[in-house]
Amino acid sequence: MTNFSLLLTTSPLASQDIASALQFAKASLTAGYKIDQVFLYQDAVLSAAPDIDLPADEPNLSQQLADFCLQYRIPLLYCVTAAEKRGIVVVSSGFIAAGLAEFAMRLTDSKLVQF
Amino acid sequence: MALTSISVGGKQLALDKHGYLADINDWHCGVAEYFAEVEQISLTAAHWEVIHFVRNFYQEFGTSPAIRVLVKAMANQLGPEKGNSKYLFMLFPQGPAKQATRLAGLPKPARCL
Amino acid sequence: MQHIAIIQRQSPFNSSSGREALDLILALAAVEHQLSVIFSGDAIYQLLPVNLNRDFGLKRYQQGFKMFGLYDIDKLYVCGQSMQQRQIRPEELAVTAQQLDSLSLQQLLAKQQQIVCI
Repeated sequence: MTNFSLLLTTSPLASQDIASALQFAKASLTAGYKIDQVFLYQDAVLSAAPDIDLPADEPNLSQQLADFCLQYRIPLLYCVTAAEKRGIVVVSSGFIAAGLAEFAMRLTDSKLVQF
Repeated sequence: MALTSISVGGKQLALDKHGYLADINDWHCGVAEYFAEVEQISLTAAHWEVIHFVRNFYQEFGTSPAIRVLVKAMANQLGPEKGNSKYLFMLFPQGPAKQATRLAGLPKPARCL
Repeated sequence: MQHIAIIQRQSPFNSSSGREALDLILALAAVEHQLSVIFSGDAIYQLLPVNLNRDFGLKRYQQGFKMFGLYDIDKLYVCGQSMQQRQIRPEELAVTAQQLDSLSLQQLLAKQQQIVCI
């Protein structure tokens, strides 16, 4: 069985990439695959911002992603340097600070899917 | 509260958020001596060699070296006796990339590399 | 370790993608992945020497391309079609890269285990 690594690079507000990644992840787990990591890089680190405040009728994809990863114990990592550059130091719960080096190492036995 | 500037040789020099020199052009040997005292390092010729090495590295590549590439670049240029992490950690026990770049007046290397 | 292609597609002038892609490339190379770095579309502009001008308003990270040798990254490619569309010749680039036509690019990508597109 293949293990997957998911890479997100776009802002949670600017695209539906998180929604696509979530659909992919759910389908993968249902089919018996394992998700090794979800890694947030570039503008995707904005998902980890602690004060996201959306109107009630807009889907909070960042929260959905955090909840999903918590429920299935999938490491939800963000690049700490990319986050610091964007002023994100304190993050909302469920997001784990990591480096690109860690992403690179976890990739070794994992199939990368980018959204 | 971290210092926002230091006084070296009668001049005030600004620091960045991490306590590193804000402007690499402010650097002179006195700055390295000042930071060496802060970091509790007694400078030897071997330290100076690394300090000048990382400054040259920055000038050539536009970035502070992370430890791995520092080791590699030093091995290429100065041979394997100096281009290894044991040697560098002996000189800069709190992390060669972190400490040597601070003494050399460079920006702190990225945490994620 | 794996064979990974990184496809750069963004111009250096309107986003931080090129800068952040460089960090990613170096991180992947640091753990011994075998990389092929491909510059395609507007990413060709990242390779022009104009980016080294002192008055360029963003971080001049292109100097960092010179570190590829230290990281044993020697497979650098540019998309021939993108070069032609922008009327840029290989000798105008600040970095030595092999120019590939679309068929060779397809063959190169088919050989990779992973592809990252930025």
